[in-house]
Amino acid sequence: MSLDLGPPLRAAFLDQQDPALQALAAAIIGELDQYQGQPAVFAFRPVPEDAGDLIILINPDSSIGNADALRSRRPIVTRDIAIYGRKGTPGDVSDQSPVVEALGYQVRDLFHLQKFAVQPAGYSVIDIVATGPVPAPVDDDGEVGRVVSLTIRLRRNP
Amino acid sequence: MAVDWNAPEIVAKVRRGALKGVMTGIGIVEARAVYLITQTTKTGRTYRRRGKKHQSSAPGEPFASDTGDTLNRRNITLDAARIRATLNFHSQNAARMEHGTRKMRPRPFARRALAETSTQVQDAVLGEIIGELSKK
Repeated sequence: MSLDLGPPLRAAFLDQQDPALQALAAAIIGELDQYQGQPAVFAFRPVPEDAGDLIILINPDSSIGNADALRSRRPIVTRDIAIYGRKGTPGDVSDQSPVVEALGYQVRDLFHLQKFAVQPAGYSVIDIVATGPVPAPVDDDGEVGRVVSLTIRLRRNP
Repeated sequence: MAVDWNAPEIVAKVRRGALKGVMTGIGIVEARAVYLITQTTKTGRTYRRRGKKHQSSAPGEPFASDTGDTLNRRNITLDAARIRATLNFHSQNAARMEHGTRKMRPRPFARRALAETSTQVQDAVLGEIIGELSKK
């Protein structure tokens, strides 16, 4: 039982269990570059140099709050999902901005009010609220990014 | 027994109390954010800039204030009609720290401040509403 949502969030893309979301997850990872034979979904930094341009990066917890009761533990976890790509001349095929933008909305759809999208061991998801996509900070002008913030309310299983 | 129910007045009092509570609450969140940035222990690398030693934050910790620019460029906006207050940090550095970049791990402070004070904020709003309703 772990409150580390990195692995289950990564699995939400690569091994989605909710049949209603599998097509969407497949469409998202189908757009991404490949890294070592896998879609480029990372839950760690630094991202490998050869990871490709179009990637999804799952941030560590931004905050952990709680709505605990006397006999139940109900963590509230905030996590960012960032999508990065290469920025080019608008309209040029090398410009991944439109793809990044579209992926931002798809990531939002994958999680927003989709309580079965994420299945952490030992916890039940009460609900997930996604905000964004909004522009993500980038390291240089050659990058474009969008970030979707997830607020995930959990209940620890008895 | 007769009960007079003056709905418009009750609603007005609740709105007034909620607005006061939100104004108090955003101050609580702001104070917590400033505390996280300026007062919590940082364990990143140390370096010298203009002869002054600076202790940076490690990934995951609220960022360490250096020039104070990010803190100085914050403000609070109030939307009374929607009973909403917003704490804004108007610097690129704030977003970089909160969300990280492809290469840099985040140093979240804003949502952490909100998460750590949410109960206090709720209490403040509730307290102000009760206060307004208790007035004759």
